[in-house]
Amino acid sequence: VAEEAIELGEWSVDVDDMVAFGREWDQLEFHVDPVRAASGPYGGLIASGRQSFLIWMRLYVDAVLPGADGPVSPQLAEVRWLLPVRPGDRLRAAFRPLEAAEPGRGGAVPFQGELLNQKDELVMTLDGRGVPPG
Amino acid sequence: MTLYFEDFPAGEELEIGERTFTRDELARFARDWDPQPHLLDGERASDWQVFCTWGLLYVAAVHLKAASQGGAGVSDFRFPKPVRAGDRLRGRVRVLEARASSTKPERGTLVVEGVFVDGADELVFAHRSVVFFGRRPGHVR
Repeated sequence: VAEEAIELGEWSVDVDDMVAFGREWDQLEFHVDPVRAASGPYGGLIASGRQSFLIWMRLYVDAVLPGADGPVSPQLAEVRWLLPVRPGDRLRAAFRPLEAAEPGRGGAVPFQGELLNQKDELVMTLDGRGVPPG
Repeated sequence: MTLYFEDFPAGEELEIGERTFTRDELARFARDWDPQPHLLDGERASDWQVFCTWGLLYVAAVHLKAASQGGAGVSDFRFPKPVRAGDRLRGRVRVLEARASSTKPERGTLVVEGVFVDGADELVFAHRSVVFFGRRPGHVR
């Protein structure tokens, strides 16, 4: 049985954030050029999947660090991008343990990481083992 | 000339470029995206900077010359050896599988393995990535 999801925090992305990230990390036209993106495969500008990934990771690290006594990088098996992230989307990250943690602090558990938009649609999931925050 | 799905058959292997991180670059990435205490001095790279840099090189070397439609996900991460400031990384990509889509005839899906090796030719990063490319115009199914 899946445990309750632990909320990690929120992050909004606008056109400028997406274009700045895309210019540095992922120069496909649908990440960096709003005009050309409009006639591209996604019908407009969308965030690089790696930007969505790093937003989840930053929110996770901020949430887990205060109680951690060592490195906290999760071991990831899979990352899936399910829906495009578009300018103005308000993203919300969560960590859903798939098993209860063993007694004692710092134990990694299998989890699903979730990134949702303001319509509560899942835009990205991560699967792996990591330390639950809090 | 634009490259299409048909230009990347299974078994194809390509070099996608090199990258050497400075301490400043590693420290800045850690501050921005992975602020764990042991990464903030820029001595060691965040795993996620290594992953994102591989993607940057793959996009620049291949996707920008092709009818790229982005990707669906990544899996099977391995980080067998830490990456440090000054290490010279060389990126490679190999096509494991090329599938035409039955529901979206205008594009095809590749499963690729992406790796970095260091100056000693030792593996420092490997993963799989699922990416989409447009089909060559007028392709016969």
